[in-house]
Amino acid sequence: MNFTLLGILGIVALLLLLFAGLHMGVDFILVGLIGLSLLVNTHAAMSLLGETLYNAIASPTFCVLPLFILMGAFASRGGFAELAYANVHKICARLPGALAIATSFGCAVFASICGSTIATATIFGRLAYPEMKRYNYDTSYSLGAIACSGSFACMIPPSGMFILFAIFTEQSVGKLFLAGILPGILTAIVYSLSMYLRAKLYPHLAPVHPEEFKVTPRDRGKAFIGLWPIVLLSSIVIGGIYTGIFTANEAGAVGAMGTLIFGLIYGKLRRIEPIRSSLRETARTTAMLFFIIIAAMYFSRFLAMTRVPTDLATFLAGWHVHRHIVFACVIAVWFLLGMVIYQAAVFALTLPIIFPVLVSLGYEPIWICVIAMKLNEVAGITPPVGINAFALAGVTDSRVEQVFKGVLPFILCDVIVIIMLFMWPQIALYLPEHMF
Amino acid sequence: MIKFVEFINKICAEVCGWMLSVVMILLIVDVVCRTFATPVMGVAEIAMFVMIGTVYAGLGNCEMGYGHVRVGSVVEMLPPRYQKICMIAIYLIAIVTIGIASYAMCDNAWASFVDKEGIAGAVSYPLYPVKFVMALGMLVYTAQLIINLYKELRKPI
Amino acid sequence: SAKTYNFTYATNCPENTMRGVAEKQFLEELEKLSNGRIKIMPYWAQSLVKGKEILKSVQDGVVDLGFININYYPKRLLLNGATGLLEQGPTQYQNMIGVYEDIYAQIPELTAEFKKYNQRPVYIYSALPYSFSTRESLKNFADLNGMKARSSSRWKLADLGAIGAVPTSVAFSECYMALQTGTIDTVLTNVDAQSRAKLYEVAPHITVVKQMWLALPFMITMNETKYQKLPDDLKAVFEKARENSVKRFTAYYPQTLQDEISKMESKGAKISYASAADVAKWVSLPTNKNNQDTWVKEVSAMGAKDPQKILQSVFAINDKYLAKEQ
Ligand code: NA
Ligand code: NA
Repeated sequence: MNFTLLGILGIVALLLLLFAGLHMGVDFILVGLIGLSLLVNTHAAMSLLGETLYNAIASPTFCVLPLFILMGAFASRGGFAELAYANVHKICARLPGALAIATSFGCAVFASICGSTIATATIFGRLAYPEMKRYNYDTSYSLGAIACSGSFACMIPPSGMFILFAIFTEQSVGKLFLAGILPGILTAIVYSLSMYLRAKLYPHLAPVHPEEFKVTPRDRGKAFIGLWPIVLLSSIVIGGIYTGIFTANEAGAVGAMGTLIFGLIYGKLRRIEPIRSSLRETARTTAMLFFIIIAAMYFSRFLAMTRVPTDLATFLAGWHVHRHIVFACVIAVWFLLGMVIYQAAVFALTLPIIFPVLVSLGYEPIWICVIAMKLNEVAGITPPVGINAFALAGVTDSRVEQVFKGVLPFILCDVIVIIMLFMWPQIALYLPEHMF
Repeated sequence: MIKFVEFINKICAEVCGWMLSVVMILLIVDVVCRTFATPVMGVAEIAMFVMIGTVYAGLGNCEMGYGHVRVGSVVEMLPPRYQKICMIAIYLIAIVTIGIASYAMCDNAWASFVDKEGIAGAVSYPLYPVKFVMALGMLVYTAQLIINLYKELRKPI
Repeated sequence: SAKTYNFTYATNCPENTMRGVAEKQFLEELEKLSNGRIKIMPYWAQSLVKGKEILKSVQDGVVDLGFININYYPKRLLLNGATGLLEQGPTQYQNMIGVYEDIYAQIPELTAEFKKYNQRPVYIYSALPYSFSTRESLKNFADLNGMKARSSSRWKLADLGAIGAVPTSVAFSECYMALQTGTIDTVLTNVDAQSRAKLYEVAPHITVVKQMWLALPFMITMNETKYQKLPDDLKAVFEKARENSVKRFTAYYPQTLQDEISKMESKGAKISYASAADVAKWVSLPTNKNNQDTWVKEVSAMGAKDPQKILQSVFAINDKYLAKEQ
């Protein structure tokens, strides 16, 4: 059977079963299993499934993910999140969409300690979502804001993905880390503007509470001081990482412990029950989330076997048209592949083929990596295979459709950011050129 | 039987939760030892095993609470009768798929046991204990899917 | 017959690295010598399966050929781990390959382990020698005292402990950040890995130890069933491709070592070479003997017969080639 056709049929089958209501993880495994059986043979498909079930998550990066989720649960039940958001709400009183904007910048700060977009999305899902609900924010508006802001983690250093890109493209890790900072902040700003405008145009998305009009400048100042626990905890974690006491992975454990201790001092975690339910809830979310990751990886392996990603990349590599057309098609291919393949796999399969072509067409190597990272961010949130969206749906007990609905306006923002990066490459290149 | 599986799932959920705090403590012990004394080899690996065990042991409980992510909105637009048929079909597909995956996992765990498969690293722990936990977790997940199918069949339209 | 054979190949090495070059040469030879009757679809850089899954993937036919790093399978390729105990090795490529070829020709137990997993080694190559990347300059090995040191080999970690360093375990993917922030002070790994992971950006002092060999045969294996189905002339192509690739890589090796070193230097790394005294100190560490004893004890406990003899053969073969270079 024709490999390409099989790959396309696989994607179609995946989507059909998905909309028929089959569990996400089961869907991936089923289609992957049938596809690999047809491509190779049943024995090989089964063997690979057995291996994937273990190896997909057997790495230190995944090992700490549940601890970030636990950190979110402790922070939420321990009163940490409530305190933080109540203060932010006061500081930004009368500003439409303030909590969503604060979440966006919160994610950007958190990204400076965490390289995992899934971890960032889940922790803010657990922290911010209940608070945004408390202030009557629209469900999809809130979920979209969190899912998309979570993706800053791979653009703003430290970032495991940039290290991987550095190896594929022979670029300096340090330069790539620097190159990611401004585009990361730019994205946060563009997201915030869009959230502000949408909240202003459609007030039901983020209603302004009557009480907000009573807030005095003095209240705002008090609320600002009230943020000290966050400043303290982030200082400890950021300080701990950048002085080398613990690695970015271990920060998950330290952070979880920190929020637990805060909860104990603050009082809300002094009984065993909230701790127990935090643990239980985290275990459940972890099981759900990791099973999808494992299954998505298995499905991606099937797609890799059909050679659709590499064929597409090779086609673009040999295409003789204007370089901007090639570039636009590369973006389109990354976007489409990012929809259906686990994001890390998209770039492992295509970046080594596409990168040299873009360089020979005269694009700046570091800049290409930043663009690729931008598409990597987008891949995590686009349906149907948007791991961050699943993670968020799981941790907030909401429907994945609602997350995807909320994500759409932000994809438009991402397009704007990509266009800005295209028109002003210095956004990515300024820091690495001047600071390295 | 149903009670037994659901009891197992509840126990698992509780144990898994506490296991996560074990992971947290292990990693902190690792950091503290490295900072103030000599690093302890192999703690990070144990933390990883505990975490993987936790994931698989929690699958059944997650299914018990209907926690696995799915797109429900399309099915819900159907008339109740078709909704029920659709759900039954979905459970059947899920049972077969996860059943096959459980078999693949058991097979992998058995091979791991026969070979005394070990991990690469400073301390070479055997892999089969965690793989057996994974296999058991998958089997319990399958059992819970069967129970949920049974519940779906008994549900009035 | 004019039947063409389409094979898949899985590796954890990226295509654009020194290891990728070695593997690509072999794949090219296969395609060229078979006049296109063998076609290989490579999956570089773990883009299909992870490095640690390749042994089983080749065994069960998920892929037809694969790159095997013996270190990933400490129990499954138990006896193959013997080479990991070599400390000092030849510095010329033909001698390194000589050691590997003799080892696999003279110790059938090693190939038998691959056979057990339904595969056969079809090509072996060697990586560049060991080097330290350190945050502070390393005048001699005494400076390692108190440094938090990382190595992927448990034997090297023991050696590092004996020399006064603090053995630390950090995943290789974490090393860049860990060196940058000072979680660890030095990484001991071979020159090409050092250069590929850009560790010199954050730990710019690179001490190359040419005599310290990463005695880890990098293997390409093939699914035995698939191999047996090949007609005899194509089986012969595999043998010829191996020979040609060894020749090509022997010519390439000295230059690539120099290239990798110059490349790091041009990007700001400060390169130095370990002195003979340091190498002598390293090879006379008490842990060398302890490591061997531990290995023999552990391997015996796993049911292997006479691992002592295998170890002796490995060392004897290595000594023979070392003597050639004196
Ligand atoms: Na980050
Ligand atoms: Na996606």
